[in-house]
Parts: sequence; C-alpha cells; structure tokens
Amino acid sequence: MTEKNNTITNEVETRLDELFMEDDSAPDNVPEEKEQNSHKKLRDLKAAILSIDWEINDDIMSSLLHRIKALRKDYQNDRIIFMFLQLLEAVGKYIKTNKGNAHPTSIKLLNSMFYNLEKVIYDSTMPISKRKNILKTEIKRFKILKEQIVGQKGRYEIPEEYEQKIAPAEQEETIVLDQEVIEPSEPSIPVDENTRISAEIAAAVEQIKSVIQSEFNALRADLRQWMKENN
Amino acid sequence: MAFINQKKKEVQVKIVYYGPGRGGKTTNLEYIYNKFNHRIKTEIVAIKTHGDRTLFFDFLPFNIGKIKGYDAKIQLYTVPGQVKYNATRSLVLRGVDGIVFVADAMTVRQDKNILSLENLRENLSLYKKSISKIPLVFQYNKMDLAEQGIPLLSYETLQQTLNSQLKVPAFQASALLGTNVVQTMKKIITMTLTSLQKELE
Ligand SMILES: Nc1nc2c(ncn2[C@@H]2O[C@H](COP(=O)(O)OP(=O)(O)OP(=O)(O)O)[C@@H](O)[C@H]2O)c(=O)[nH]1
Ligand SMILES: [Mg+2]
Repeated sequence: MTEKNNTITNEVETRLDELFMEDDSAPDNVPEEKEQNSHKKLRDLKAAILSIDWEINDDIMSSLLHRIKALRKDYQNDRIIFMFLQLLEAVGKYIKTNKGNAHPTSIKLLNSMFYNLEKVIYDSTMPISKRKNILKTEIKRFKILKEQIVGQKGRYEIPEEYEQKIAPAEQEETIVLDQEVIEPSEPSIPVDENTRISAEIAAAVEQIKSVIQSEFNALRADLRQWMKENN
Repeated sequence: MAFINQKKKEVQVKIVYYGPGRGGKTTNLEYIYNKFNHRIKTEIVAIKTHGDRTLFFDFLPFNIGKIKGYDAKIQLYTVPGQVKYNATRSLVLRGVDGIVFVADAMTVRQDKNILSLENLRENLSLYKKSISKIPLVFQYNKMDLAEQGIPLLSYETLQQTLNSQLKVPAFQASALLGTNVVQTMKKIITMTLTSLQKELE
C-alpha cells in the first residue's frame, strides 16, 4: 500500500468511526425490560418459523405453537397483536395437522403474517389505523387460504376453535374484522392452477416493464444532468 | 465506475448488497437505517412484494462529508435474491463500485450461497467487471441462530467454499441483532473509496 493510499484509507476510516459510532445511548435504543423480553420471545418464534422452511415435524410445530402461546400472554392487552397471534396459531395448527400435505400457501402465509407481526411490534409509533389495515390484509389472505383448502380437499381443516376464540376478543369498532373472520366461507371456487400461473406471468411482465421504464427515466435524468454540466 | 464530478468536487459511490434470497441483505440496510437515520439524515427506499421479499431493490443513500476535499455520497443498494429476478439483479449492478456478499450461514443454504456467488460473477462480467478486482467483502449472516440449535455452516467451511480464491475480508454477523453490520459497511466503504484514490488525487 502506498502512503497516499494510506491517507485516504485513514481519512475514510476516521470519518466512518465518527459517523457510525454504536454507543447504546443512541436515542433509538431505549431498552425497556419487558419490551426486550417479548422481543426475545419474538426472535425465538422467528427461529421456529425459519426452521419449518426445510422440515415440518411434530416437535418443530409444537415448539412453534408453544412460542406463539408465550407471546400471546405478553400481548393479551394489545388486541391487534393478540389477533395476529391467533391467526398465526390457527395457521400453525393447520400445518401441524397436515404437515407435508399442508397447502403450500399456508407456509407462505405463516411467513408473511409473521413478517407483518414483527413490523407491528417493532414499530411502536405506527398509527392504529395502519396496524388495523395490516391485520385486515392478513385476515383476507387467511380467508383466501381457507377457500383454497376447501377447494383442494372439500373440507376445511383450519382448527375450528379459532373462530370461537376470535369472536369475544373483537367487539367494538372492529366488527368488520370479526365478520370477515367468522363468516362461514362461501362455497369455494376451485383455484385454477393455470389461471393463477398466467396471472403471475402477467404480473412479472408488468414488473419488468416498470423496471425498464424506471431505468430509462434514470438514464434520461443522468443524461440531462450530464448535458447541463458539460454546457 | 464511480461518479466523480470534478467541478462540484463530488464523488458518488454505489455499493450493492448481493446474495441469496432471504439471506439478510434488506435487514442489513434496515439496521443501518434504524440505528443511524437521525445522524445521517436519510430515507430508505424499499420496493417489496407482499411479504418481505425484495422485488426491485432497497436503496439507502447518505453523505459522509468531505474526503480528500470531495463531498462523498454513498449509495447502498440491495438486489432481490430470488433466482427469478435476475434481470433486476443485473440492472441494479449497473455502475457498481463495491459489493457486500451476504451469505446465509444456515447449513441448508449452502448451495444457494454458491449459486448466488456464481450468479454475481456472471452478472458482473456482463459489465466487463471481474469479481476478483472489484472491492468485495463477505458477510456470513444469521450467526445468532446457533443459540437456537439451528445447524450453521462454520466460519472455516464458509471461507473455504466462498472465499478460498478471492481472499477478501469476511465478517461473521447477525443482521437481525446488528452484530458486525456496521463493521461490514465501514469495510466496504473504505475499500471502495480507497480503490478510487487515484481519481481523487
Ligand atoms: N435469525 C436471523 N434472521 C435474520 C438475520 N438476517 C435476516 N434475517 C431474517 O431472514 C429473513 C430474510 O431477510 P431479508 O433481509 O429480507 O433477506 P433478503 O436477503 O433481503 O431477501 P430477498 O429480498 O428475498 O433477497 C427475514 O425474516 C429476516 O428477519 C439474522 O442475522 N438472524
Ligand atoms: Mg431483500
């Protein structure tokens, strides 16, 4: 390494050390014991969810359900999170019962529900309306899954006690949510694999189109900038 | 090639977090953003599918002040790791100056790491760049899962399978907990700016 090289390296290192000091007094790092404790439980649950990516057996599923229960205790006073956990539990139970034969969407749903649960828990400044919307979306997906399962097997295997459990927890302003969940599902339209696949292809094409469009916009902007600077 | 504006005395550096799907690239940027946004005054731009998969890319720009008299602007990007999004991945690599390869330390992801590194090599070659010349840092992520009893690849195995030829710096990390996230980023920024020193003289 040359001397010059060394000076730029040192200069950058010093600057980065100043900017990115990880002192724990940073304002976004307010440790609160109970808070941290449930975050730890959330991490444990996440590990369980990660592990069903490659194996589903009774042990793993029991520990997953156990971890959901542990969190439910912590959040019994937070209705939205509580409902999230009930949804997770319902899907978890369904997967436990059906294991390898579980509808593939159920595992995806478990992941997306968990992801959104994390978002809601970690972002303590999120407005109630947004939390509700996120929950509603998951409930909708849950309903769709139920329908798909009915279509798949002609009977529905989401544990039934789930519906009774949800009902008393939700009374006042989220009645709409209630109805969405407890409404018996309509006779299902069997999901046509081909329709779904071609919809996915269409969506992918749209994605690529808009990527290309935004790339071109970026290029044009670069070019304009470049012309301005070279005039 | 970094964008260097001699008139405005400005240098813009593009760093891309690359690696297999679900490896933790987005989590790296989120950690940096959450921890430092009050200090680096920036916004994160993320384009995702429903759920948490990156669809196009995540983008986190910030300034680090003057380096060699130039205003240094850093842009961190992530690519979507899912195999099917290769078109986007190679687009995001356009003009890349430095790369963090986020490998997933879970044993079950070993092949995906290798395929993704191979894919990086190919995509770079589209831009006539060589993986052995571009500033590169490895991050072996999800080390925290060890305490959950989830089988992880050892540091030695990861080094051997991914880094035995390249021999670049490598960090064991947990993007989720923030362990070595900042160290990884500092290293790649330093290496990248150092690689530009001739142009900045
Ligand atoms: N336990 C653990 N989980 C992690 C870590 N880093 C990321 N994850 C989790 O792994 C999942 C995927 O992380 P992302 O950051 O979205 O992965 P990505 O590489 O951006 O994935 P794509 O956008 O699909 O390419 C998320 O659920 C993260 O919370 C880690 O260090 N430890
Ligand atoms: Mg991502």
